[in-house]
Amino acid sequence: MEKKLKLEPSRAAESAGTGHTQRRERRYPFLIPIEVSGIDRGGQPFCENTLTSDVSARGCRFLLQKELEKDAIVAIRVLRTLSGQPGDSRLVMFQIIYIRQDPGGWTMGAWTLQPDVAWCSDIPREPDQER
Amino acid sequence: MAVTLPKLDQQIPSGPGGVEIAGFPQILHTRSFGHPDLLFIPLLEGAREAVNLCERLTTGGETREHAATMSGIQLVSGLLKDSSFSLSARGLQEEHFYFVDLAAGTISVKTRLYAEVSRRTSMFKVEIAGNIRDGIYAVRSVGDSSASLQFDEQQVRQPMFFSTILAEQCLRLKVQQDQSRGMGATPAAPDTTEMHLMVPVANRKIPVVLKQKELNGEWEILEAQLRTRIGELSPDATNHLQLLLAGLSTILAAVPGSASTVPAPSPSLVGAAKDSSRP
Repeated sequence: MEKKLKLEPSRAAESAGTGHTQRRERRYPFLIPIEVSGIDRGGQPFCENTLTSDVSARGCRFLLQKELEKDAIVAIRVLRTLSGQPGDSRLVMFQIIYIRQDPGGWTMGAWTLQPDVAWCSDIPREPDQER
Repeated sequence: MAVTLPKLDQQIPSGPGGVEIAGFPQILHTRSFGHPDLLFIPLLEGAREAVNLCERLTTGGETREHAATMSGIQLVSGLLKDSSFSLSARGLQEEHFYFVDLAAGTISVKTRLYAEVSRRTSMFKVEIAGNIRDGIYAVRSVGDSSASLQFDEQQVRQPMFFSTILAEQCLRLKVQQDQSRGMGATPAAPDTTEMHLMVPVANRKIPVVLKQKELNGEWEILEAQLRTRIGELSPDATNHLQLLLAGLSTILAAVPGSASTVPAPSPSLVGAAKDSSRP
């Protein structure tokens, strides 16, 4: 029997110790290949490919090798959709709202600066977004 | 890279302002560094570094779009390092509003100036626009497309340039324009022969003065506001000008009453408009 992976969105609010914001959106544990580019702590431009660990309509979480500052601005491009199709080539601006050091690098939560843009086509549209 | 802002000083005007960077989805709002005397030069320097980064990335093989995005991020990040700045949605009406286009290499600010000259006080809204890399900055009244003043970066870097020097220059120019309109003549220094022209260059109009030298009769070209010398008319152009002036002189001589507004020209300066508005 084929075992189906059930993707249950979590509704847990996350403050991540920053006091900055609480994400109350549905989050989906999608591993989506993305390209993150921006300016690192040393003021140098970087561009790094990584995978999201979860996504929502307005944010995402991912692991980076580069350390960034909180509130740093990054541009994120979806490289491939969950079905393996190439992502659209658009860059969407995000702001880093929390950072945590992990064994494999830095886990970061980012929040979109373009809430009117559907940054990732794999995220189901929620009722309040459908107009 | 951080954008280095000056320390707030009671003498330097402060106030809120907004910065829009072309292609960036939100506006940077500052509570206290909005006045151009505080922000224009630091923003110009930050924008210059961002333009350099854009060129470096493009040379290194990045696409133009990605390079422009990265350089925009660098400039935004530099401003956000100062706690006075925050991101905000578009649409706020700001008293001082800056626009930076890194791809086009231009910077501009719309601001209000306040000045008092010769017992006349005035407040007016102006736009100052120029090139990020090598600045000649044109100042024009908002709502009036003609350039009214021009400054280079060295002048703009003078302390309190916007709140004192520029504001006074704008007001002086306005007073001059009002006087000229009232008297039907163009202002000029006494006892000189000058012609004032607005020369269309690209999308701007640059005010220039043609002034005839007393010594040899050659015509110099001056920038109108600061009266800096740009060059001089070639002999061919001088001949054309003399023909034009002779023609105008003939026409004006036939107009009844023209002698009361235009003083009689000297034989060597046929038809050139002399200043009659000053003692």
